[in-house]
Amino acid sequence: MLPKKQFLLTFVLFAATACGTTSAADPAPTGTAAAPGSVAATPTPTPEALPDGYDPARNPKSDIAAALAKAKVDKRPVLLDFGADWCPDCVVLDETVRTRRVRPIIGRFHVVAIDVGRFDRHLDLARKYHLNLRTSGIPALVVLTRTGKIRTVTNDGSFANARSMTPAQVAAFLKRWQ
Amino acid sequence: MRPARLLWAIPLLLTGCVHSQARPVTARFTESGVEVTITVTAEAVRAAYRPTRAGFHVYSVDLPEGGVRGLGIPTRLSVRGGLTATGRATADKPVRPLDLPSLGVTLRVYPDGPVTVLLPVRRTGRTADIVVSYGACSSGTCLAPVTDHVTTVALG
Repeated sequence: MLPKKQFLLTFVLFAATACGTTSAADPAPTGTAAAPGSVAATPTPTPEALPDGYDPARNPKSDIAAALAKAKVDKRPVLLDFGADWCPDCVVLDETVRTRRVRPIIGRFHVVAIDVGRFDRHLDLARKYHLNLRTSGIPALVVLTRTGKIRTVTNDGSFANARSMTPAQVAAFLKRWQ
Repeated sequence: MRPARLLWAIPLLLTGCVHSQARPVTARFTESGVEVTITVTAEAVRAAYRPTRAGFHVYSVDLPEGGVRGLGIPTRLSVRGGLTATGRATADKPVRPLDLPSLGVTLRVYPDGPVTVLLPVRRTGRTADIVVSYGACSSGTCLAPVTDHVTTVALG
């Protein structure tokens, strides 16, 4: 039988550990339920993997559906990135978001890259999200809430200088809409 | 009377020749943020590419097909049908390098604004197709590329 003081100390430590797992500021990693009594392994969410360029072989409708399904669980917004691999500004932006300054911030989004080819692919998706590619050009971005509602569309030329935007400017845009 | 009739016909023939050379055929269209004006004479086809928005440029005619490492849209001017090219297309503006340091790529583009490309030709028929391709980009945005836009002209 434990002495009274030692029992009390053990109880306090257990209670403190248990409180740690339920802290709102320290959520469990995406898609995993924390076991009762366990401590959250990481203090910040794991950055979401980024798409590898604008892959014409991908099905963006499925990608968007998958991203929204994940967003419902982890409450992260969804970022739709319309572009093409021939477009220098799109490829430069892709490099910029992988910089140390931007990577942690864009990692808080579920990113879906949508290949528009020579403006002959997936234009229906652009229309669905109220994106006027003819005037906006590419890259063009759409931010969706976790429920799929449009938060912003870069029809206004927000990314009209994507190639010359600094990582800090790109980070500021993302922070505004995360 | 025969020599007199001949003398009368000579100026007419000359006038006809001058007339056909002095009246170039022109055509114009605007697509993807660029107004293209095509002028066809007996010796050359000129295509003036004029971006309709400030700060936009088109790529060099020297850019390889498919761009550099897949980047960029080459500007192209070619003819078929009643015209045959007799030389290479050249531009009236010097190319400038567009450096993309993060990608380790330099693209050749024309300065922002209009550029005219000239293609020497020889007439071989009564109608011809003028075929142009281009893509306009600014410092951060690319508009839809135009690929093999055909303009058919009657050469008279």
